[in-house]
Amino acid sequence: MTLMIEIQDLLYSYPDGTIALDSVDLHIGKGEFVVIAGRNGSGKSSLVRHMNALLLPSGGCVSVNRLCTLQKKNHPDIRKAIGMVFQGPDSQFIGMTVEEDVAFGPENLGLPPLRIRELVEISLEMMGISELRFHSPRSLSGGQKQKVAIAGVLAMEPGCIVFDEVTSMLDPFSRKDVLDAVKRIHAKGTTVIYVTHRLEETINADRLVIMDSGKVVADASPRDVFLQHDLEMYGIELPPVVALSRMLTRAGFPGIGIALTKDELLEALCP
Amino acid sequence: MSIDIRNLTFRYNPGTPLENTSLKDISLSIGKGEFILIGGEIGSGKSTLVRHFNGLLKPSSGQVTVDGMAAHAKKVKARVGVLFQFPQQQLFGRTVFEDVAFGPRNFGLRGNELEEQVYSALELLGFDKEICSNSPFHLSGGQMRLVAIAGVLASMPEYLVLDEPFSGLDAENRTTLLSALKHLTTKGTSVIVVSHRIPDLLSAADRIFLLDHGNLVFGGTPVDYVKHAPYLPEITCLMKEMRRKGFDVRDDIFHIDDAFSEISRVLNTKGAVGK
Ligand SMILES: Nc1ncnc2c1ncn2[C@@H]1O[C@H](COP(=O)(O)OP(=O)(O)OP(=O)(O)O)[C@@H](O)[C@H]1O
Ligand SMILES: Nc1ncnc2c1ncn2[C@@H]1O[C@H](COP(=O)(O)OP(=O)(O)OP(=O)(O)O)[C@@H](O)[C@H]1O
Ligand SMILES: [Mg+2]
Ligand SMILES: [Mg+2]
Repeated sequence: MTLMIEIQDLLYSYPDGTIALDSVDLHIGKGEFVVIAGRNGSGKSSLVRHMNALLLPSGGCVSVNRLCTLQKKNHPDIRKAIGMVFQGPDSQFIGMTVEEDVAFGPENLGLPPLRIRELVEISLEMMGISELRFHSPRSLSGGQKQKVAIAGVLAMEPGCIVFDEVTSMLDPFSRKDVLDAVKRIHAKGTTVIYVTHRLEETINADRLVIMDSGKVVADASPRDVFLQHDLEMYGIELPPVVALSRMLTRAGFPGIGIALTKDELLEALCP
Repeated sequence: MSIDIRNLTFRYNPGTPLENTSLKDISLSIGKGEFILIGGEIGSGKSTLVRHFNGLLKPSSGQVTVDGMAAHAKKVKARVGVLFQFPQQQLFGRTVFEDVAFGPRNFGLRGNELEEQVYSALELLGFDKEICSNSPFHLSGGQMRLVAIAGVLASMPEYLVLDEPFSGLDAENRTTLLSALKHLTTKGTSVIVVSHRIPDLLSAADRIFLLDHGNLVFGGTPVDYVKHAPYLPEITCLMKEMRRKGFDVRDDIFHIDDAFSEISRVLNTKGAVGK
């Protein structure tokens, strides 16, 4: 697998001295779908902000497509390769209308107008917000704003997209729109890095990375992480179905193991 | 003592091409010490509704009263504390202390009393005193939201209105916040929470209201909710499907522990899994 993001022995301390990341090693291949979870303040946002050179290492190094983020001349290429949707978007809108705002990214990439139109169309469609296209992004509801921010990054079609807790303000149906979009771009080869507190959203991921106190404390397939770690220790709640299947297994009922989905558990209970 | 909403209709940008009726003829009331959840899809009108509770928005028609007074009356300000959906809209202080102290100071508190109230709000949410000297903008997303919540709690309002307080919180902080809120209701504070995580909060709630395109489409208890609501806790879905497959299990369950006992019971009477 070709390497997309290479993080070696990363240390980061904020200007006020807070050490947010400590000895982080993480290698992410092209086309992987990696979920990052961990308690509040564990370093998730600090980590992903290194991936597009918004933060630069205090020690160790981060490279994207073999380009080191410490070299300033690499930043334009790195930022083109990695799109990022931030936690809690409220005031980062540029366009007068939703459509303009979503078009801003691809326009900046210098794409031809027809192609831009097409990309805006597809992204609004994927997020289910086509009917909001002429609204001002500032006068939308919280969840609608979140979807506009996601559409804006999708429209740039970067090789890798980082989603930092983008579903925390969405209802179950909108959440599904986002997860479907993630599946769709992942299937087309986009690398996906997905930060969340809801592990039930991670079931399709290739890898689940757990952070605690600025360190990576687990990095394996979701099933293996659920099997091998007591995630409660890291302030993380298991998805209800996983927790229930583990309770039943621990109580001695055979043939259940760790079920990742409701259907898996049903299959084990009533084959 | 209650918040009463009578035939509330609200339009953004009335009389312009952008006119948008975001609340349509809503009537409901919220009593003292109640724990209320407000849900509904994105854009359904939840934030618009709760912004009426402290007079931030005024009805296009209908009335909103708090303890018998119009919600935008000056006297109401101290009774209703509101957390906005984006905590950044609420934080402005140089330090966490300044931020949390803003409300109670505005209502006249000074000196030791002020300090105590600030510390106890932060403590209730699991923070150490040390956090007080930090800049609120140098915190993680979840920590920022908790500080914003502490700022609302510190004024000790009688009606606590929180727009998505659980969003972005980890499991531990969600538990801490939920028990802090439950504790407040036992002392007579009304807690009104807007959330997309209603299934997770059902066991704490007295009543749930659901909005859909500005209409109030459901009002009832947690038990009514699992009977009628559009999206159910996954555990409830599991029980329903087991029932459909011929297992004699209850399907009005939303707690993992209850599901565990129910499933254990039927598996034990069946002798083995899947027989
Ligand atoms: N701008 C900043 N200045 C100083 N310290 C910061 C800053 N931003 C974050 N921190 C601190 O760095 C640590 C890691 O924060 P980070 O935002 O990476 O956490 P997170 O895992 O994303 O948490 P959350 O789930 O709450 O979003 C925390 O202790 C936080 O207080
Ligand atoms: N300032 C505004 N000007 C015009 N329309 C607005 C404004 N704020 C919200 N709206 C519209 O009013 C409707 C209700 O919005 P509101 O913010 O109350 O929704 P919500 O239920 O809180 O949604 P969310 O879960 O996404 O936060 C939406 O259609 C929204 O686009
Ligand atoms: Mg974060
Ligand atoms: Mg809202």
